[in-house]
Amino acid sequence: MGERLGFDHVTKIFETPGSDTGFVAFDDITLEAASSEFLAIVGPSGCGKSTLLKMAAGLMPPTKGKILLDGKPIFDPPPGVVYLFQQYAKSLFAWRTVIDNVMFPLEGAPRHQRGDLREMCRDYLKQVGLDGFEDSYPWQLSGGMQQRVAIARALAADPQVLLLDEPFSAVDALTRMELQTLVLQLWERRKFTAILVTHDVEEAIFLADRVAVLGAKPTALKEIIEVGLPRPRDQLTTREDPRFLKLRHHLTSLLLARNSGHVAAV
Amino acid sequence: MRKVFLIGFAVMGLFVLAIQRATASDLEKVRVSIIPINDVAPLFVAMQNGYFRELGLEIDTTPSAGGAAGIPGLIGGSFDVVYGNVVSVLLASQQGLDVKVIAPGTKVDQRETDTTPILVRSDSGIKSGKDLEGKSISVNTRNNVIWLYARAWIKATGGDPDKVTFKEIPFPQVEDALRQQRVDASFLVAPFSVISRQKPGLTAIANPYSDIQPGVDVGQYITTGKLLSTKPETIKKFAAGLRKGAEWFNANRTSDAILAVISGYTKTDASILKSVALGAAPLRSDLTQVKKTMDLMIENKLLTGPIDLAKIIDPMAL
Amino acid sequence: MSVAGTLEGTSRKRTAGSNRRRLGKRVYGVVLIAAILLFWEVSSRLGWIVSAYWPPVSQIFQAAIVQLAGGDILVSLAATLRRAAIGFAVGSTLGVALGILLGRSKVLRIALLPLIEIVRPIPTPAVIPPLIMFLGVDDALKIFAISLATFFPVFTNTFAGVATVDDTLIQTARTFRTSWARTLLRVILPATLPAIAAGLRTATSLTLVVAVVSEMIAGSSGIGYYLVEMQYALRPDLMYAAVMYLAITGYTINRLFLVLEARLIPWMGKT
Repeated sequence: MGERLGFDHVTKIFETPGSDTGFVAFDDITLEAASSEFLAIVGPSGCGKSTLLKMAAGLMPPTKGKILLDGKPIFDPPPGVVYLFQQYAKSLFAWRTVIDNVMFPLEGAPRHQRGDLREMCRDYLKQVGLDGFEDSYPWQLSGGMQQRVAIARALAADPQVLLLDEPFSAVDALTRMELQTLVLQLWERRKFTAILVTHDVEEAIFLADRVAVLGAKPTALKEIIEVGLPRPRDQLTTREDPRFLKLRHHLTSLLLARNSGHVAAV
Repeated sequence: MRKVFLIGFAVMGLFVLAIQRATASDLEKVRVSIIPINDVAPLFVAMQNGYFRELGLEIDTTPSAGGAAGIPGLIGGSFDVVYGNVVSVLLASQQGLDVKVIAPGTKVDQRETDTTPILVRSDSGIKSGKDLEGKSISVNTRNNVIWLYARAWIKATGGDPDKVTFKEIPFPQVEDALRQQRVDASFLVAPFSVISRQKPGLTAIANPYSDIQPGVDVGQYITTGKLLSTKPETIKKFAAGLRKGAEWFNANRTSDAILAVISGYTKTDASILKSVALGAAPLRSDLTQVKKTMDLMIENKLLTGPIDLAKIIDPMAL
Repeated sequence: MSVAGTLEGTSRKRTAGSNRRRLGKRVYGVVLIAAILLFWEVSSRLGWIVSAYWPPVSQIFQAAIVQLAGGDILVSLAATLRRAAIGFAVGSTLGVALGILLGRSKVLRIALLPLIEIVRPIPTPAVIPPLIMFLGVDDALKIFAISLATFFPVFTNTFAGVATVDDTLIQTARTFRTSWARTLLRVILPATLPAIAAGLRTATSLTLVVAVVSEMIAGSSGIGYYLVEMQYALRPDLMYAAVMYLAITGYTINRLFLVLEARLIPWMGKT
């Protein structure tokens, strides 16, 4: 079972030169992903969604408030919380082969276990469909394949919480759907908690149990929507479900309203 | 990948080991900085004839092509003895460096063996220092013995040295510079002074050393006062061996044997050396000559005032 | 599989085509060199240039070949290469280490960067004469000078390279709870390798230059000393032969470096 990860009254202020107050990125956000829940956070581009996720990963401290992992505040990257970056190409180690990239989180392990761990990593690569590419270098692979490597590496770290930072935004539409399905399958199998940040409303609905919508600047939580679509979900049938379309309509109008400057209540 | 690195390092390591050679000997080692020119022939004669070995010394010579590293190396402890010119020694002494002359090295006292002339292009019409005003003359280094006597000669022949441009050109390049009109006159040493006149076009118009100060003590062997007090016996033995070499040199300086010695350390062809007359090696330093040089240095503002020569020139050199 | 397959296929095809083109270009280069050498030979033989230091090229080649059978040039070259190798190893190790440490540590940066910036613009040959007082005229001096000359390009490139290491890479290491030292060694160092290689390549040519110059100024061994010695000994044929061997050595080292670079840093320019 995945661990709970929550934001407890989190405020993030960036110091800006020439300003006493600084730039308020988030104001008093309280939100928690339940154990093994798939939570999506949507917001328009540039609203600081990545910042929120980086705080959740312990990469960046909040100015006020706490990040709670199973109720306990975190300060540094905690074990079991794995981050999947949008820029997969920059997050892979170009000098390592695919298998060595996946091995990276496990290299603190005692030497005698390495052989078994390597076998495990081969299995992860098989799970993400990269059978036979163990000895390739990341730069020899396509974008979608590179993100698969990153996913396999995340699996190797045995994630209790997987943070997904717009992980499919840089690949083509078809690849994106394949990767979404892959992540869903892995999530259902491994039961980790997932927090996805995206600006793609359909992606959020398709993947998540709940969708949190971020509002105007300074960014605050505007609404949380239960998706309630049956699982396992399917790229064709789920997306054609009238409930899916209704949710899409609702969420899109929320985001559009924000963009046009109105804060509409629903 | 790592293997390539390791092999690379291993090869490099072996290479380094292979080149490093160890030497062992019971003889006391004296490290001498020399300039590979005819003037140090007595030292090499003494080495080859075994004079130093008889005294329990082993001489390790380090040639310094320009001579620039000599005195700094002596002060820094790389050498025990340095062959250097009189001006450098006096300059070093004025700067408070602890230098001591222990033996004479080079003396120019006979015009027929003075192979250090001032050369000009034969068609230039330059004959005196006066003619050189507004023109240029080359020396190997400014503020050294060559420079000093070039200035003295210009003055003695009616010119104003301050109206002559001094250019620094290494000896081997002088002939080309003269012929290509990049300089109008040059103060040059052997063997270059002899070689460059073997083809027509260049003429010697003066021999500043023998013209200005016959008998000038140009070169000396020097050490530090510290070594002189900590290892007086070693230094004394060195001076004795060297003097023996100078005596043999003087007795045989027209023989082919001496050419073989010089060719050995200068790497110059014996046929070239044959055309260069060798002057007698001095056995003793001459205080009055050094004083004359000192006065010239003061006159040309190389020295701010007189130096107590008795303190620089050790009695063993006299 | 198909991806890798296609990549290999196209690259092989490209090499076959460009090999022929490159060969064609190379012919022009060879012709030019041959023309220059011919002009040299003729100008010397016919006395267009009257100088004791302008021997016919054929005489230089002859001297160079004679030297192969046992002569001072190769011994001198070995002495120079030995010093250059040691100095290069010392200077580049320090350059990489300090470049990475200063790149990642603000405290060290504040403490050491001003000193490095002040010393950097000084041309290494200029510090050799004063250094003789402290280090003598032998290996210590030369290896120090070579290390110094090697250090700066390596340090500068490494330091700049560390600054351009993508934050995502470092954050990736952090989320996997990688220690500071391990991050330096396993993430920052390899990520900086392309920049380090560029610095090392600049340094190799400088290393040889400084090695030769330092030998010309002080000491009694090495190819630099040999050059001056032959100049004074009126043996220009040997002098040019030494220059020729030096050129060949420099060229070989550079080629070797490029080959090593391609083998050890295959991802260079690929990220």
